[in-house]
Amino acid sequence: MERRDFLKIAGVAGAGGAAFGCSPKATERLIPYLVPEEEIVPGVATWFATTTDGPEALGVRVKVREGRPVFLEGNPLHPLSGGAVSALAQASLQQLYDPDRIKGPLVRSGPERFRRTTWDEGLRLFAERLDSARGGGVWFLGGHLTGSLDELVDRWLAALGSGNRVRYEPFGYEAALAANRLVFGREEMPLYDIGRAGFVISFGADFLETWLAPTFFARGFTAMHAFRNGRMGKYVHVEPRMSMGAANADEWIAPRPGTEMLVALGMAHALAGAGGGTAGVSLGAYAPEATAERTGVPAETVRRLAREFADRGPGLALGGGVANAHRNATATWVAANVLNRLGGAEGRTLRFGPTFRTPAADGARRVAELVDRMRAGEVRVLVVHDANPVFALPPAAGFAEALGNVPFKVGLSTFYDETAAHADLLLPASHWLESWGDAEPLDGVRGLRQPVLPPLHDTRPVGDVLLATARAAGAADLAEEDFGAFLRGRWSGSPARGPLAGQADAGWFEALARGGSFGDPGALVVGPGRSWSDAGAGSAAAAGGADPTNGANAGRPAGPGNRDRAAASTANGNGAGDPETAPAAGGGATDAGGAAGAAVTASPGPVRFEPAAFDGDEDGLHLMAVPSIGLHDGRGANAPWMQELPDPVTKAVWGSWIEIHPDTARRLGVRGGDLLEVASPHGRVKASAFLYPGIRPDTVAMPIGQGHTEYGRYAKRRGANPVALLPAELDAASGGRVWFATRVTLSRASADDGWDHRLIEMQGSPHQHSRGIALAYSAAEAAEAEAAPAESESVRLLERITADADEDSPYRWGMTIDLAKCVGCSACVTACYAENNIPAVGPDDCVKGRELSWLRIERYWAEPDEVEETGEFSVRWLPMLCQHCGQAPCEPVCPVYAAYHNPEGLNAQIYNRCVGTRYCANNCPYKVRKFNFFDHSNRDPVLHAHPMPETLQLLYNPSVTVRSKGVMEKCTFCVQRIREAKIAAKGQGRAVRDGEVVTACQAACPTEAIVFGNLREPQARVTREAQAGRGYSVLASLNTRSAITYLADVVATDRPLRGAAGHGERGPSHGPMTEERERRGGKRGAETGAEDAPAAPGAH
Amino acid sequence: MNARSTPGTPFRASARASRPSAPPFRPVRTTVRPPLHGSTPARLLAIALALAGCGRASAAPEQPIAFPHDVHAGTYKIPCQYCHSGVSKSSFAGIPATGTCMGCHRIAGRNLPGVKQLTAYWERGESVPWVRVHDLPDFVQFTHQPHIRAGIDCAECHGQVREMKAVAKQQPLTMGWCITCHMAREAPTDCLTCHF
Repeated sequence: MERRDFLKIAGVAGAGGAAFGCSPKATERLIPYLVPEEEIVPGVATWFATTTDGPEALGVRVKVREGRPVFLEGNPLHPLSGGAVSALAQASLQQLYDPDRIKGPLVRSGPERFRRTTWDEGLRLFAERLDSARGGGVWFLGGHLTGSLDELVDRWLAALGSGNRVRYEPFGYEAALAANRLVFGREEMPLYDIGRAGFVISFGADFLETWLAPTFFARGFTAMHAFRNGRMGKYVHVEPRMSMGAANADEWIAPRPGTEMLVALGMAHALAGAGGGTAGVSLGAYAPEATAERTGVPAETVRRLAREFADRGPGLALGGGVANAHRNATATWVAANVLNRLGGAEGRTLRFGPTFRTPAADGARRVAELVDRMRAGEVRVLVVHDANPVFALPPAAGFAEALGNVPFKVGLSTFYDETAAHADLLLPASHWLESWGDAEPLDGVRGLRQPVLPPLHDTRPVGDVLLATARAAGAADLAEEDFGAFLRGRWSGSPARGPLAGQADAGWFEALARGGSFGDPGALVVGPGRSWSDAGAGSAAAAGGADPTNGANAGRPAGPGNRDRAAASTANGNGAGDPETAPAAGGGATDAGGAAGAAVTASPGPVRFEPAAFDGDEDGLHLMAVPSIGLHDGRGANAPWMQELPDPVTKAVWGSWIEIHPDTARRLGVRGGDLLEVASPHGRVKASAFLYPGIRPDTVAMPIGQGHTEYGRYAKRRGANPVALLPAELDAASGGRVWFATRVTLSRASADDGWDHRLIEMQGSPHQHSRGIALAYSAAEAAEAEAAPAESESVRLLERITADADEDSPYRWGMTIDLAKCVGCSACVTACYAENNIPAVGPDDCVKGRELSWLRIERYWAEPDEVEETGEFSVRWLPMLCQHCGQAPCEPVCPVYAAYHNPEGLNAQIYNRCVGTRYCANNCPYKVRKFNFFDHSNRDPVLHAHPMPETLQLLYNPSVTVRSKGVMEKCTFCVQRIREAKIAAKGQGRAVRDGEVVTACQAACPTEAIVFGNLREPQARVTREAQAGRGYSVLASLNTRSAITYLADVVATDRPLRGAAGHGERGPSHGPMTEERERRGGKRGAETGAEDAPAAPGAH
Repeated sequence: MNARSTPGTPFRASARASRPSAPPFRPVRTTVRPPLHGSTPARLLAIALALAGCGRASAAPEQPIAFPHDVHAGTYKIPCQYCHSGVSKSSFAGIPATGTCMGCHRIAGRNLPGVKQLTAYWERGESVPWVRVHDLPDFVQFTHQPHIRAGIDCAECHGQVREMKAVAKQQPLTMGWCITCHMAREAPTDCLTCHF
């Protein structure tokens, strides 16, 4: 017998024996509904429109199978979601089923001990304490709320005779709001219409990641930046570190930390001349030449940017986000606004029509005030909802200690987080999928939230808890039975406010079916046509003395001594404790609907256009605390999907790290992966080093969101919280939190604290090694390529790919991915996890390269010699998934025909045939086949080291087989969705139409980079896209005839890119590859990473 | 391989047979045929099918209520889809909700022992925990809807249910049995039709 035959038989015998085994199965029970549900047919998904919680408040459609939400898709009617859904929003499904949710009311029974209680008992206790503390003793600390719950909280507090409400989000917009007030006279966030801009320059705002409305902005960014008919906009990012947003920019400029405002003013100077100025800012002193030394940005670059801002127009300038919130962040925003005004953005790309409802402008100041009141013993009952200040605030702020002075603390939290751990009574809030609610992230965009399943645990929606306690307190005007009734009353009852006022039931149900009321969608597209300059001038005058610079400061930057004194005065204790900076905060909580409360404008500090001060060691490295796209401010940390979602920049998972420039690392003798102690004047943490060429040598960066001491099994004792290194200080000019303000020193550390500090990277080689994997063209090259599509390689390829299916099959499924649209946001990755039942394997298996993601975003850095030659560092993304090759290398090596080609061109993987030889994965040049080393769904703790909690298994999509140990799996092109569409089409006696099959990744993508369809349909969108002149196949030289056509990225640059190293025209450069391998210490095996791809065409 | 087992926990030999209630793994009797020549998928399929010769018709399991299909579907000629209403629109035929049963049995046959049992379930607010008769492996994504649309009679797969006192599996429900019919009717035989 030949070896191959033996394997075949042995394999089949094994598979047959196990899979078709005669051992009797356990009896399965069929449990029918008790009362027939009219709308539910078991096996058919029901879709509900609702709205997520959190700052973004996306409109979504929830796919519910047999009562269980299993997938989120964006609500296409919702202007901010536009049919897409972010990774974090998708992961809120996992938070619904999180095994670490608080499962019922808890009352403290001792230090670190809680006793389970009933809701009646818990509410009675709560009401009693509220009654005894009536008046100023009751404080409510909550996250950013809009809509009905926001109003209810205010009325609830009023019923208790208190006005002590603190609205606080860790990621605030104070600097931007203050600057908008100072320049435009409106303390609001206008509509930043990126989609209409021809030139966008961001001085640190991570608008594709966490800033304001990233899903909405990603769509706008595509509209602005995607290459269409030979034209595209340009995006320039100014930040000391190349963030995910900066990596998408056409140009990344890394000024000295804290000096972006000078770059912006330099641009304004170049536009308006030395005599120019607006809103009290005179530009005379900010000629690019005068500031070049301080910013480190050459004057000619600034002048060129200014020219582009004007010529490519309309331009748009944005200030800083969280990562760039230094002590002078307001100045950055003022400077950006000056540029907007002088560059003609106002009224065009920046419009005060509908405005964004941001977290309160006095949030951070109010929290500081709360700490003072707690210290003074004035807070008798503190209610915390949707906020985790103990985790999010620097320890120096003293929040945790001050809590000790509060006799009764109530947590309305879904999770047992760091703040909940201090509570005396925990009344767990239901998840947003279990609750009624609404949200208005942008004026007029009112999303409705409806419960799509009954509470999984003994929890109640926050609104119900507030109403119940208000009733107990005798509040006559809060008589609604529950929050659902309150919501409905507010929507249809009051003629003044309700968007459905005067409409009967039909209107309410229609709003529920649509997911809310989104006003006039045109308002988002076309400006309201008001003259904002007039309005701005009027209000600026009214704001009285709000001149951002008093003349002396504008002309003459304060000397260093002066600056130090300013820093010292704020560094002493937290800024808001200082009566100078927050005098009016106590009395003047802004009212619910009003965006521009007078109280917060009372005393802005002066705005100085000078480099921000940094404390800490003079020779230290500037520390950036960087918001994470998956974990956000830490709220995503207990969702395994978010832990296992590679960070877009570092591709690291399940932990945190510190990004260090390789030159700095060399100077300090640090190697990648070394565990370091990071020390600032305010604290010290441990983190592993990640060597990143995309950061200034004088700067380091750490992600926000890890380092939890509580919150749940996935989050706890993992990574580090960089907040511990930060001062408890507020930006004097705006009252915003200061995140980028300290210098740190690094020293070696040992991992002796029992925490997981590993750096677990999921990217193979960071370089393309001249293989032309992720291609980029300059705009001119792209135009040239698009001009001659008939001869292009993509058309020839397409003909061959289309042939790779049975002759009589009407379908050849294929995909295009436009790299010019892909921003690396990874929403597709999480959507794929949700749709296809992909388990998170955990950190130990990730280290071994055993992650099961079917779709990953590869991240390639420019080759070192290219960087040296051009002086430009760049990053390219490439979503990599099964290519469904026409000549798949995996197919002929499978001894049991588990991998085969189906008649419609799909590369199939049949789990019940697979015997786990892993030959296919070894032969796949794209490294997209994943092997199940464990049975993640089996609960046997002996044989299965990685049991998935039972509640998380409720999230499984019943339409997709849950794979077991020992089988190979990979992307199926969402064949379950294909089959569903085919069955539906066949019922109507027709073929599947273009657009009827939408893969999960495609559904989630905010930029529509992914297009799926039938390549045999000439008019299908996918076929048309695949013919684009920019089209290419990855590793086409292997003749795999990939069904995925990538469209090369296009960069708005004059530099030719086609000859760049990534295009493979320079010949192999193995030097850096070897060096890279050495540096990484061979940590990753041969499982992943294109560097290990066998590049031998014809080997099979 | 047993490195992870904790002391005192009995060792189990097979990963696949590790459902808590499953008996210990028994080696499967193989009848390995002479070595294959040629290697078409169909031949491999044949082996797999030969090995899978245990999916034959089985005895009727005992149900919590001795529901007589012969009375309902036979004597009273209630159409199958009156109760199994999902069959034409879903992958599952569906088991009627207890409330659907009570729609008739609030009045009809109130004194029969089975109906008394049913009423007791209803009054306790419980669903009847029926025992599944036609159970496919979890890696099979079977769907009823296209079969019904193709005009396949229920009896072709489920037998003459209208004559059964207690429902028993009549057909083997093995892949070979599926494929035979699919081939005869020129229905798709691509693996991805049912396995994904």
